[in-house]
Amino acid sequence: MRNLIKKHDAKSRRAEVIATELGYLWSNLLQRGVGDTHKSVGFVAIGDDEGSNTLAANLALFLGSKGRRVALVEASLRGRVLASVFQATPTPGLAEVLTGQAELQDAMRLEVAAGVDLLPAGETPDPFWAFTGDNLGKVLRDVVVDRSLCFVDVPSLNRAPEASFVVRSLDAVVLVIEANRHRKHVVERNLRTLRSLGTPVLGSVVNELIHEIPTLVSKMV
Amino acid sequence: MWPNRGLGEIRWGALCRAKLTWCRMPRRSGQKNTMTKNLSEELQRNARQALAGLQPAPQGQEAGGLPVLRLLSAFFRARYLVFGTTLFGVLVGLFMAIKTPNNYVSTGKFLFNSTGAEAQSVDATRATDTNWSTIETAAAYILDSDDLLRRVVDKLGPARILQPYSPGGEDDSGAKALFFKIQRDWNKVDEANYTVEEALKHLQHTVAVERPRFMNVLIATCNANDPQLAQEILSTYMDEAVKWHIEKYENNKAYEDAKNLYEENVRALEEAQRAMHTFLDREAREPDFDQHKQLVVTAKIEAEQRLANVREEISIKTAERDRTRERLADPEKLPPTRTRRVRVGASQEEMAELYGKLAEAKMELRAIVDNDKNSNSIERIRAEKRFESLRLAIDDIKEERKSNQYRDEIVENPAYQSAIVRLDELEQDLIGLEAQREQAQKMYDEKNKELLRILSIEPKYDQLYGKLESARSLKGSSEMIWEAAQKKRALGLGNYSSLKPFQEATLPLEKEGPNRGKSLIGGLFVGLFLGIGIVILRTLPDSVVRTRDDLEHVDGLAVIGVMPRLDRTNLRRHIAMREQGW
Repeated sequence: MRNLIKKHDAKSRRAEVIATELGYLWSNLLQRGVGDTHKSVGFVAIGDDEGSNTLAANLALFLGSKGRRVALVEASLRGRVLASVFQATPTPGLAEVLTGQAELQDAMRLEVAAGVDLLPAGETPDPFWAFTGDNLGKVLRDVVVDRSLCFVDVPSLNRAPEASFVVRSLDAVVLVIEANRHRKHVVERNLRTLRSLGTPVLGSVVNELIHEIPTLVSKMV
Repeated sequence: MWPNRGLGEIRWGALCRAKLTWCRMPRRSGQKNTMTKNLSEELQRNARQALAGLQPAPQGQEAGGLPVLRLLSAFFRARYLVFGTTLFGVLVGLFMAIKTPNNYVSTGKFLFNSTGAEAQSVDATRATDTNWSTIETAAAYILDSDDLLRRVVDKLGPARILQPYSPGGEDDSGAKALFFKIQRDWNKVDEANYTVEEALKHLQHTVAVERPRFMNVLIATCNANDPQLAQEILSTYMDEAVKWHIEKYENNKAYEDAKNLYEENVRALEEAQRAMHTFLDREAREPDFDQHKQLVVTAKIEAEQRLANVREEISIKTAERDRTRERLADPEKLPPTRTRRVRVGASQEEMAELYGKLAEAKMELRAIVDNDKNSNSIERIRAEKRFESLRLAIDDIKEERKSNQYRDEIVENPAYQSAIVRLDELEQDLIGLEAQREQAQKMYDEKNKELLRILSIEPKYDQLYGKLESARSLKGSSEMIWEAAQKKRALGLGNYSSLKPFQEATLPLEKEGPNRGKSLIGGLFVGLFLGIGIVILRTLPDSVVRTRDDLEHVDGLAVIGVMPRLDRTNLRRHIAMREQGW
């Protein structure tokens, strides 16, 4: 899941599987009101490098390729990756918009991919204080004015204290969990934290899922 | 996997939408919330609890069931660990198979006859003889002694016992020679380790004595890396075992203890007897205290009775004397004389005298007639005349008395006379009785005094008697023990062991081990099961979220998407999983 769709052959097995799973994910999101009542959806992970930003980017690319216009906002100011992934200039970005150093129109990178507009993280010496105001909510509302959806890469819950501010500014969140990484009680505790913020948790996505049992054995069992 | 998953997800989605309606819409429209956050959470919790009841646990994951899929998954996940432990086991097995020297077992048998001197107990604390089975079992343990093994070491020497394993010969070549060389090198022993202690440790591991059940045969075995060495060690061990058993089973201490106990109790008895004799001689002054006491008591009772009888008789005779005196003092009651009527002439006394002379004369005449048949002898004639004259005189006096008159004659009163005589007798008796009373009183005082003396020393006698009896009892029991000990010694004539070599140490013709193939397979299985065990121990308490099912068990969290790891094998399995039905 580290690699993006566009870097692979569309007919390859890998791209096929990713597209299939993104289709399942979008189907479930649609059933939960995404695009209808939930315009801004965040992808939040418990720890770093669990693939929440990649998942958000892939889903945006997937929907963009299907004709939707999707905004991709990188709210994870501590680990900026999307600008380099999409080969866009890193600044100005969300940090500058939140601190009033830049306008949203200036920070938005339009059409970094088919149907995808990117608002990169930008640069700020203090990521936490950048989110303390209500500017993010206003920015997101402005983003979705002329776009059907806005996917937000949320900072990880256990690594960034500003994650709660970001989550409260969203319409809904999806919890991204890397397989073989967290214990069950850790997931439950973070889920309780998410729910305590009041933003609907649409569900979870298991990332980096490993099928340990061979196919033949699995069929026999 | 979950039959009701779709239903759960749909309801959960509806719940999310409802929550959005309650919580989000008023805030976005700028209106005030009409529902508190706590109430919202409570509603969510109730809904989740209701939904949880609609979702039964998947097959194989019910509470208490064995998590087969988890274990299987963990096994494949830790396949490198399992492979590593298995390989490690195989390597260890290979090492053991190569390093372990050949093992040869020599066997010898002892016959243990329970009718020997061991069956005779000399232990005073044991009520019965020792059970033969116990003796044989004890013999097996006794033979497994370090002292015995040390004798074997002393006899054979540590260098011989610790002889290193040196397989192969000059003719071996190729892999076989290499194999033997490795074995020789790995089993090489430094000559500095040829010590008695090391040899003793070696024998402790290699020599064993067992007793099969219900048999009086002891089986001794010896393991060695050389058949001749095994036979030599076991043969030496058996020889020394018989000697050692004889020495140890003699149990000199018990014999000496029995002897000392007996002698000590004899001395104690003699001391008690001396004390008793001293007491009887100097204090009791009688050889038999109890009998003397009984005699004194009897004599005292008799003296008392006799004194009482004498006193009663004195009182009776004193009363009779007083009555007699009173009668004699009163003439009215008893006059001294009385008057009687008598014929005039010869008196009665004179007539009685004549009749006496007549009888004598008749007897004289009859004697003469019987002795002398001659009727004309002078003596016979003289006797006849005298008889005749006396008869005539008596007849004359009778005629004369027929004609005579009676007259009154005053004579003494016989009752008075007899009373005087009786009074004299009573006086004499009283004098005698008084002497008897004094004598009886004296005897009674003596016996009473003796009895008091005996009673005063009786506690000391009882104490000495108790000591004496106790000493006699102890002496009797120790005498029995001592006799038993002597009997045991006499039975065995100095040889108390009935341990006999029944089968000499054998020369092993084939090696007993090691089975190198089994070592390899055993190492493989041990390593495999070690790895599986580690996997199980790691998996059972494992709560890491590894699969979609694990995440679906999190309270109220629906899994809306999965992204597999993008390697070829995992993608193939993922596609198969999708095709199979997830």
